[in-house]
Amino acid sequence: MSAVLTPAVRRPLLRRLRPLGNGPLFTVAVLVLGVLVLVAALAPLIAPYDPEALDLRSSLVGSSADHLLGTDQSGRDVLSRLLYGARTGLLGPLLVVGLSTAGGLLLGTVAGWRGGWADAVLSRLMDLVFSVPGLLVAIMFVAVAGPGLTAPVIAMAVAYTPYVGRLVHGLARQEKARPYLESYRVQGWSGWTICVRHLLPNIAPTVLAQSAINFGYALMDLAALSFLGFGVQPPAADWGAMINDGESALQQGATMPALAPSVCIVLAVVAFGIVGEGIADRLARRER
Amino acid sequence: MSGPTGLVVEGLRKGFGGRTVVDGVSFTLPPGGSLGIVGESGCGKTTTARMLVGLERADGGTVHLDGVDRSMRPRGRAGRLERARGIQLVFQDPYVSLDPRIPVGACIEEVRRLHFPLDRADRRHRVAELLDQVGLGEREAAELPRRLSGGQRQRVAIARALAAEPKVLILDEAVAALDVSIQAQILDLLAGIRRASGVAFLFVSHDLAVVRHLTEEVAVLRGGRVVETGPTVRVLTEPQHPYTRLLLDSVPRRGWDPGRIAAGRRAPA
Repeated sequence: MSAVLTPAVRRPLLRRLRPLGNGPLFTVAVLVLGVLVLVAALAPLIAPYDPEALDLRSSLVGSSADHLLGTDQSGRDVLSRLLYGARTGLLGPLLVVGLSTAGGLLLGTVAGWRGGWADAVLSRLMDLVFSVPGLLVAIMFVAVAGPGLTAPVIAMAVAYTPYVGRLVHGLARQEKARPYLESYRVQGWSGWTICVRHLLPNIAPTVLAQSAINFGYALMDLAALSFLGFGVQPPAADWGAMINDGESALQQGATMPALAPSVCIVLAVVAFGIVGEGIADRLARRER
Repeated sequence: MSGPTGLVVEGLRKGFGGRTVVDGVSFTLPPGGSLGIVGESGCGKTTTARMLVGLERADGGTVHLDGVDRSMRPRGRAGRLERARGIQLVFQDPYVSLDPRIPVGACIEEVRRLHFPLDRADRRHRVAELLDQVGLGEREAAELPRRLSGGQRQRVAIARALAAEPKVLILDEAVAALDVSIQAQILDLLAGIRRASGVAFLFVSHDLAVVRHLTEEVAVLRGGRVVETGPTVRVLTEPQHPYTRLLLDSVPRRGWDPGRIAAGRRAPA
């Protein structure tokens, strides 16, 4: 009896261990992201020091038991700053991806579903935004609103909207022609109801895959902005700003203050990329 | 005019990018009647069906159902629902016409909720009845479409179309995607439904045997035009138009010669 039951009991467990069954790389990427989120959530509990506490006497100390990753020029603990940096590092892209996904879904769905002049106007609008470099828009926003997290986030959200919008536009057009959605029209549902209740859920996984990839890019762009001094301002802990800070330390032979946040950014961007591609792959396989 | 006049189509036209697909199609389908529209691929059958349910907008011509004009796009919820209750459509391929995310019972229930929101008490009962009418039970109702066979899915699609209690049911090649043995079952099922419910059938098909089985009247379509109409039995036994004859000769049977048919097809009819 138990021999018969075992496979049925074991399968879901196995599945939970390999979240989407995309192989080891995918699993590692998911773990990396999991750790990142945990660190961001628990930073105040696990950080050994106050990330903004200056201690000029212990400036640029190498790795030691006291400071695992050493200190920066102002004597701040690099590890603590990294852990806290995960917070803005994730919050910024989360807002960017959330806003741009919402905007892209709205514009793409309206354009793809309505077609005609609405499509023409919205598609040209998206092309227009698309053709302006996002970082440039962000710098303009910062020039007007001042540095910080808000202006770069809004600018990047605007810049990323066409990426989502174009994807959704194509998906909406393609799905609209499928008989299962046409059947809802024949039944007499309003276009609005069909889009919200049936179109969006059916295209959501594909959009989610794109959003995961965008998350990595947004993280990188926001880090670039704060590296340039337009984003989160020192002494707040932010990976991009830390690299900027660490530049002068590099000249004095201390690599850790710049290298550690760089590694974090690369890890996060690559992990989001792998997860996004993994979801997309899985969808492609399911389509077949 | 007194009493319902059924579906009256006059001079329906539709072109895509300069190519005329439907070129002045006219026919009448009396209430509770059955009409077959036959013709080969690309003759405009499906486009005609899609215009009747509002999936394509006609370039010209009129469609009246019981005297009500259906040519205009409906405004507002009431108009949309009224229009949907006029004509329902069963799509050709049941593998793509059902929402992959929704259990089939729920998908029929949705239609009931949309069109008959007040019958909440006996909604489940009606859904069970509709499923039973197409030979499906509670077990199938809980399944997602991908867990059902092609024949079962088409049964679901038929039940879903009937859920709106339409006056006219259009079946667009509704058995073409199914195995021959399943086709016969579905055709029998449809014949039974028509006897029981009195819904009018518009049967769009390239398959003359199917049309013979299910319809009283037939219209033969070629190049977007109706070339012959009449009682199904007469048209299929004593065709007047050379194209109808050709179509009949094209059906594979004993002593059938594909070479001769192909030659006849090349000659101007």
